Amino acid sequence: MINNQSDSEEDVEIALRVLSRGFVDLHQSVRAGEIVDPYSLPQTMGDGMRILSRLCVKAAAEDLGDSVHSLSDIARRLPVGEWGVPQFASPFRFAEAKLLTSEPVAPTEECRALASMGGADGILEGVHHLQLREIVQRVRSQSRLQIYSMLRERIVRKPVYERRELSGFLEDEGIVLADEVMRQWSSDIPLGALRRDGSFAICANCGGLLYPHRDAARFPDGRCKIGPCREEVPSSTARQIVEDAAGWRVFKDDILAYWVGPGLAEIRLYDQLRGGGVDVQLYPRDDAADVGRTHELGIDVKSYACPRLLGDTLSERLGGLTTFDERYVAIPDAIVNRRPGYLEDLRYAYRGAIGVVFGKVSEIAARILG
Amino acid sequence: MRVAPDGFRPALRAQWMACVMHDILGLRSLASAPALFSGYRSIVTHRALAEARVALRNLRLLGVNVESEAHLQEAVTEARAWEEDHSSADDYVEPPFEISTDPGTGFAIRERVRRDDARRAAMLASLLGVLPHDVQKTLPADHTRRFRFRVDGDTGPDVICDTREIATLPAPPETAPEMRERAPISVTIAELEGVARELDEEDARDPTRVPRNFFTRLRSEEGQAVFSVLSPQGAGLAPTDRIELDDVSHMIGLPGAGKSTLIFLLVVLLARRGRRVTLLVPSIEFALALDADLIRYAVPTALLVGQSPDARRRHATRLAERIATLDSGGFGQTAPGAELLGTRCALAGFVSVPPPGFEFPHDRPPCRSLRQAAVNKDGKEGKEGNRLCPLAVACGRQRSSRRLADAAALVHIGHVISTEVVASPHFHTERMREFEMLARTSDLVIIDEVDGAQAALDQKGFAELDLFGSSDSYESILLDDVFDPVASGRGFAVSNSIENYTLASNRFMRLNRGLRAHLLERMVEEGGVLSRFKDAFVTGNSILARMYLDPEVDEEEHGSARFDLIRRLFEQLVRSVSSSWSAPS
Repeated sequence: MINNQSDSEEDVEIALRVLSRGFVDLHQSVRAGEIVDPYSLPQTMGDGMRILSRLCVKAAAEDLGDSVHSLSDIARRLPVGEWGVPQFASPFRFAEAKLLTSEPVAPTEECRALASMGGADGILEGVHHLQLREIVQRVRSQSRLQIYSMLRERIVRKPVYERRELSGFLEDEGIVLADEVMRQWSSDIPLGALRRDGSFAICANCGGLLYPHRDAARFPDGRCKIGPCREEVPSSTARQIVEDAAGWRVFKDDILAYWVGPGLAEIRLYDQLRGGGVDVQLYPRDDAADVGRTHELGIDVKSYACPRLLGDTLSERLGGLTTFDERYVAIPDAIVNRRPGYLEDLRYAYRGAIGVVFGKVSEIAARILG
Repeated sequence: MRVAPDGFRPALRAQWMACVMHDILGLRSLASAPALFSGYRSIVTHRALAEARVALRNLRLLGVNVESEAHLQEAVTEARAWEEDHSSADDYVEPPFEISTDPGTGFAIRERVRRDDARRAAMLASLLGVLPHDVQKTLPADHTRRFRFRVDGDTGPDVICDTREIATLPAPPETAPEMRERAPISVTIAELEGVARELDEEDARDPTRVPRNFFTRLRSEEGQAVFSVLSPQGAGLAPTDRIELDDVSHMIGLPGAGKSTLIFLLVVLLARRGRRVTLLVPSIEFALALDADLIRYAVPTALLVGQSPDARRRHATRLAERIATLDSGGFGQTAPGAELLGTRCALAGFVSVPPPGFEFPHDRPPCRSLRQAAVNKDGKEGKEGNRLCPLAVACGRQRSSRRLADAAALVHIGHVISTEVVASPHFHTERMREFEMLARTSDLVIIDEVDGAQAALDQKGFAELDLFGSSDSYESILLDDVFDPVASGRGFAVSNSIENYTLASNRFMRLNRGLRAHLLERMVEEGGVLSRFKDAFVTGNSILARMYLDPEVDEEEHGSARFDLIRRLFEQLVRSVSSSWSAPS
């Protein structure tokens, strides 16, 4: 409920957009090696906190705009509608939007969408995507169109890798150019993931790291840090125990948050369709869609918690999906099952002129497989 | 912070000192005033000063701070100057004492009026009485009307704030009443074990918590008591099952003996009984961790932490650095205490007319320096006055002060130095420092790791001057900040003021090097330079006097140019250091 008449839905939405932009900019500075210093925040983060404080004080709610740490903690844990700020709560149409992913922490797709709403600038275009595409452009091979897909798939399937094995893979595929960038995007196995004997565990579900957990009874192998993986398999079991971490690397948090986590549903869908005999590709035509086939069929998997925001975002920008004849937007089953009326609200919020089929990942797969 | 008695003027402080020296102690000069007014507990608690103790304390509470002969001479001269300046006024009444300005007489005191003179008697009576607390006079601005502040105190451009859109603001927290009587604190071991069991059960109910196993710290798995309590009985000690905390002043034990566990359980138990406890610890990090532990068991706490901009910046930066080590450079992370070290002021969201290029001073927000006109009876705006920020009751940056003032926060945790913080004027009607507030409202005060607390207090008590010999020394800073820019011809270094400052700095450097050479020379003398201070009352002044004057020859040459020059330098340095650290940390 909007408590104060002067806070129009539009004002509140602007507040959320500025705040989202702030989180994206703050994340950029952290990626550049800064720490979150409350005394040198990006201008946009400061602006977002200022507007948030105003909303809180006007609504006689607890002020959340004073501490960047407390604020980002709550943004990581809860959708905006549950922050205790009445203006952000239902029926505010983006009440279900979550701004930061739980683990590894990064701005969510929703946050990035909100941050770029109304703006034409390309700062939110994934830096990694551009770097990868640059590598692809430099490859002089007939199969270069497949290289982008191959590298993305490789990253999603094996977020933890042995350096020599990856180098061998890249050499075999004729893309040694990518070796350096893969090294830049990854780091040694963090000390926190190592067990007392120096070994570490790889998650059976997503291939990420399992971190030793203090509740050893519930998580004897450790616990996965990748949020969507934990949603699929809360118990986290090990596929492999690696005795010696030397030579092993793991992709950095933003790759895990932007590609590996959301990529799990994409890979499942891809595997399911391929298994059913549909000749689809991952990230076809330089990532025009998540899963697709030539110009015939394109599927984007979207993990927005807030269907209205997803509807708005797609209405504004459908991206590469417009280049396919049949267009699907698939939502991971867990998200739809958790939130009643998700697909109805998504269809209602989508106002784009181009027809798109919305459905759960399992429904879309079933529909295509016939 | 007390209300000064009628007729008290800082310029006439020497008169009030004379009243203590003459009328209470029967002395005829102010010669010993620097020692008596030093505030050293070893002096003021001496039985010879029993009758003067209250008066000495009262004067110190009024800001009479005479710690050296130079201070004393300044006070006496200032009082004499005041008399001369005002003697021709119609309402002038001669102060009751005549104090010689000649140091040779020890600043002798002569009575001008009889002891039963009404003014002199009133002076004495007020010195021996209880000075009432100063009342907080500044009111919050009316949030239903606009108000303003200036960016740089009084010189910067006006910043207009408009909070009229706020329908209602929360009421300020109810503060804890002064505790005039306190019921004894008596705790049985069985009660402590009961609390330990409760905490263990609470941990067990929450799968995300690591069990702390409090009960097994009191009773072994075989059911044997880990603690045994002995109480004085006659000449010996007898077993008891009860801990009586009244008059307990120390708890000592080997590391791991369970002192901290006992304190923790005791604090939880007392808070659950509604008693008020203050827990002082040696570091802010420890205080934050303890605060988080107690909040975990739903104990209502408040954190005592420095509120000055510098202190907040220091604490918040340290916390941010710690959070950054958790993961992702601190992005999306937090740690206990972050909500109490907020850095952004809510008023920034209500600035309606920002001047060009304005940036809100979050670092030094105008919480106490707003300006708003009063409303006259006829409804028109009258004279503008100083106001407090009306958003303090809602602003996140004030959360810590708000919680500290709230009577519902039963356990106050903090660093011992932070007790010097002045209680927030936004929530208290009396002007008082936290240590006094806590003493008046707490049932129990516990100082954990008392040696660490003492070390922190010691450090606070000393004026430390780093003159040379380190990269933080005055000499090194002058070289970097003044001489190097001048020598390298950097832009700002050509103005007249810089030129003058350079010359002054040059003089300082000469003296500084002289001091160093002198010290080195004296270090090699028999017994070393420190031997002169054996069995002596040591002050900054006496150190200089003893270093520079030969006791056999120079004692009469107090006025020598060399000594005076160095003394002035030293005292100015002491004052600049004192004024920089006397701000609440």
